[in-house]
Amino acid sequence: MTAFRKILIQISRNTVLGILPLLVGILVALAAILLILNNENVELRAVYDLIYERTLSLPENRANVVDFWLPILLCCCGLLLTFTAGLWNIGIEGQITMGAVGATSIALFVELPRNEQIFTELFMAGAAGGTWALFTGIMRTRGGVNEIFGGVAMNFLASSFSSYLLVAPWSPPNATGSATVRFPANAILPSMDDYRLSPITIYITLTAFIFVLLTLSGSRWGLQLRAMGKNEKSAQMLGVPTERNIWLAMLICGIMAGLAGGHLVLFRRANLPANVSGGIGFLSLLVVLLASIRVRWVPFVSFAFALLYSAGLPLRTRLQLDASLIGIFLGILVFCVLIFDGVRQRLKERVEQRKLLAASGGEKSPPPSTVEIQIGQEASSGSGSN
Amino acid sequence: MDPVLTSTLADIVRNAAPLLIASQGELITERAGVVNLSLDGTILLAAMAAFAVTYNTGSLGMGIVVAMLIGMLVALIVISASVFLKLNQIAVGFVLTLLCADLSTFFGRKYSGQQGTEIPYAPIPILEDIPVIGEVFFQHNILIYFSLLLVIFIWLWTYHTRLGLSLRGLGEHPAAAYVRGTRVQAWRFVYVAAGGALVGLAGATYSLSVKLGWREGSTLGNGWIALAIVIFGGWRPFRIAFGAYFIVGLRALALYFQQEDVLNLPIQIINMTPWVLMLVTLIFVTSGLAESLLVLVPPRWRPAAQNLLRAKPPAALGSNFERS
Repeated sequence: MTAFRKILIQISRNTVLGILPLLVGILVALAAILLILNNENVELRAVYDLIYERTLSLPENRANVVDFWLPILLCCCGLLLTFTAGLWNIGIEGQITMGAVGATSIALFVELPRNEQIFTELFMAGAAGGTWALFTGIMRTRGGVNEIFGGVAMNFLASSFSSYLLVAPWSPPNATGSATVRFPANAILPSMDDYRLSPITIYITLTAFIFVLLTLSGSRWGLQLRAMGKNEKSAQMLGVPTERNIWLAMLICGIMAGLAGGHLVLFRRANLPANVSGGIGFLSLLVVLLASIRVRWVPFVSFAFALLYSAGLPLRTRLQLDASLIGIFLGILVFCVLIFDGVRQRLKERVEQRKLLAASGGEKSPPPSTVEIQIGQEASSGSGSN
Repeated sequence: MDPVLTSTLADIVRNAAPLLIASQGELITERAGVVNLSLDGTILLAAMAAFAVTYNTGSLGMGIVVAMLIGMLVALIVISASVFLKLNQIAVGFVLTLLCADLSTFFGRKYSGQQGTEIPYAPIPILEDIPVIGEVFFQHNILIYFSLLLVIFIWLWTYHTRLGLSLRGLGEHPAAAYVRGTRVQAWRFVYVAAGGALVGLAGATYSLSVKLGWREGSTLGNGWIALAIVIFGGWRPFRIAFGAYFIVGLRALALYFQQEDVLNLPIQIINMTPWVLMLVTLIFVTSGLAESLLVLVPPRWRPAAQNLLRAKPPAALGSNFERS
């Protein structure tokens, strides 16, 4: 067998083994959904047809899916940086909300020429999201508050603040506090001629993705983030400025989340509604988990998630199924992928151990001793702890 | 004492019960060295299941048992994934919390807004007649009494029994515990299952006692609060109990201000206060700021104050243990 063929076989084996957990995850998630649908007396085919009809059948529906996908991808780009650094930025929902609030503050109360208006709105969106994330980062490094709990608290604070704005200062006359007035036309992001898509958001998302791709795959900073993700304390001992990197990663992630929030209010809604983020931050966290921090997979996985999520509402209206069914499917999918990827890793380890044993002539391993295996970042920095 | 204040204190004791039970459950889980991040979703699912089972069978006991089993199952998934597959506990817990929340929404939609059964009121004879204390502590139902006794039981177990010592060993230094003859993995499973069952019970306490009935997302956020209270409480049963009462007390205060029009602030702003105070307190306790202020305490009281303010997590929290 030539060396080339050996390499080809190895590559295809690795690809198959890499994709296998995803395939098994999809199958298990489908089986679970099938069981649920059977219980509800709804056929899978009917759900599939509805999803297809509402997402891919017509150009405007496809544009709607892309419009839903862009802010998710933007959030994923930010999360890739924080995840690589071993930071669980659960506060991303709050960062999206604050970005939306920041953009709204300009859209409602400032009047500038079109280009300056849009630029200022987006600047405020990014600044508000970034500042919100930076707070969490500072609390983590200076206050000793784990980013998970800091982030959760910041989510609740952002949500309460946005609700307050909607019922008090920004509430339209005789309104129930569910949304602000519609923004003036000058404040809304321009759309493409043929499809309802924002070219500005497309450019921003594309730039963000390329930036993250290059940062993580070929930059010194990306390498530092990776080192921190493996073991923050060791990275610090080796001279990596961990505090600065945590702040920077959180700030950039917050800016991207804020811009996603800005897109939601400046284009998708044209006003600030209650619960503006609508769970896309958590959805992005699932995407990044599913893609196991592989940058190249993220656009495809996030598109698939966006496609399914944008079909959620018709499920309720047409089939009397709750939109949470999509969440269940995605939850089971991500859970199964995590589990089967774990199984694959353990099997791989076992095969390697056997090979080592065979190579050493079947000698037994040294006498038992106790070792502690630190799992992920939380072990080194004390996850759920401070 | 002012009857309004007495009844407010009794409300705080009642409303804090689920948070107290969930945070004590998470306490023993984390003391065993495992982080179960799925609390928020588990409480939702358990609350829905407890209500649904009670609604369909008419049996409160069955509803509570099912809720506890759900909590136990979710917790066992987290630890099994960590022990057998070496998966990140945070990742698994996070996915499970979202999944459980969606499951509660989907399966609970039939029960939303339905009238259900309530855990019967069971004042304790004689004790209920004690002025103030009787009304605050002894005029509730059995789950509320359980929440009070649980704190004392976990404190006694953790600090005054041999098994409690081994529990602390699991979280602090599992290798040393193993060398001392403790079956680390087996005991971790036991404690995580027990902690999960308590989290499930917290869900049942919501839907059958505190927030009667089921509504989509009715307990949303309380799991995260329970997790934060464990840190706030420095992984100690009584401080955690104080944290739970403190948070619920702040909520009651916010409601009181709103009803009495004392501060004339919108409810949304008042709702932010517990989170701001919790963050400030967490920063104060965990950043070492509190300890640096100990110089102001007379030397005689310093060790006690230091012990009170200590908020160090179990050293092996979130790590897996393996013999090789």
